[in-house]
Amino acid sequence: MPLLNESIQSQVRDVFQELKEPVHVLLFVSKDKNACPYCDDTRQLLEEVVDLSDKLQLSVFDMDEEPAVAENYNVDKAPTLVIAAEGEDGPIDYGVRYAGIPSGHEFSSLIQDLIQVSSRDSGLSQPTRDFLAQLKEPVHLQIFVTPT
Amino acid sequence: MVEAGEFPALANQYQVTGVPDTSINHGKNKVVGAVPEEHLVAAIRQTLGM
Repeated sequence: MPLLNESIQSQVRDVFQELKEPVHVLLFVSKDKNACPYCDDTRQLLEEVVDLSDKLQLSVFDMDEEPAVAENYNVDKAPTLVIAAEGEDGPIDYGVRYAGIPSGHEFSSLIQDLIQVSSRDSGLSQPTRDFLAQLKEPVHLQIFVTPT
Repeated sequence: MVEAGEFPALANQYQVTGVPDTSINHGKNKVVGAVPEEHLVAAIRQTLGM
């Protein structure tokens, strides 16, 4: 039973015409249904979304079976999506993470994130880019959202 | 981004009462609501003591 109905699939497929460069979504899940009640749905949702463009690919990692990969991407909760650029030698991490199932209003955040990473352009103003370029220490931004 | 409903302990830890809630450097500072780019940059500057 698909999560995305035909109308949504069609709209998303159209929007994905904008995709430029390849994007690689790394999805981290846990088989423990108590730890991650939405992991199965998140996986299905991502599979359906990625199917709508050949510029998108999905890799799924079980955090218990592949803890080193999770650690490499600093992922400590499931489900977490790493939305990375796909380069010649594999994923290029821009630090974009989404923890939780991207449903409701957050579904459009997911689509926008994919388009943005695909554009390889932050879309930020020049003064912001200049400011960020001279940062000497990492800055961590964590945004809490809800689907409604 | 973190979906607060699925990670309530984390949302509590960061004292999230309204969304979007942007925490800078693990709770050193926060910006509540959707804000223009310059506002977020200013908040980052402030957090870093710049």
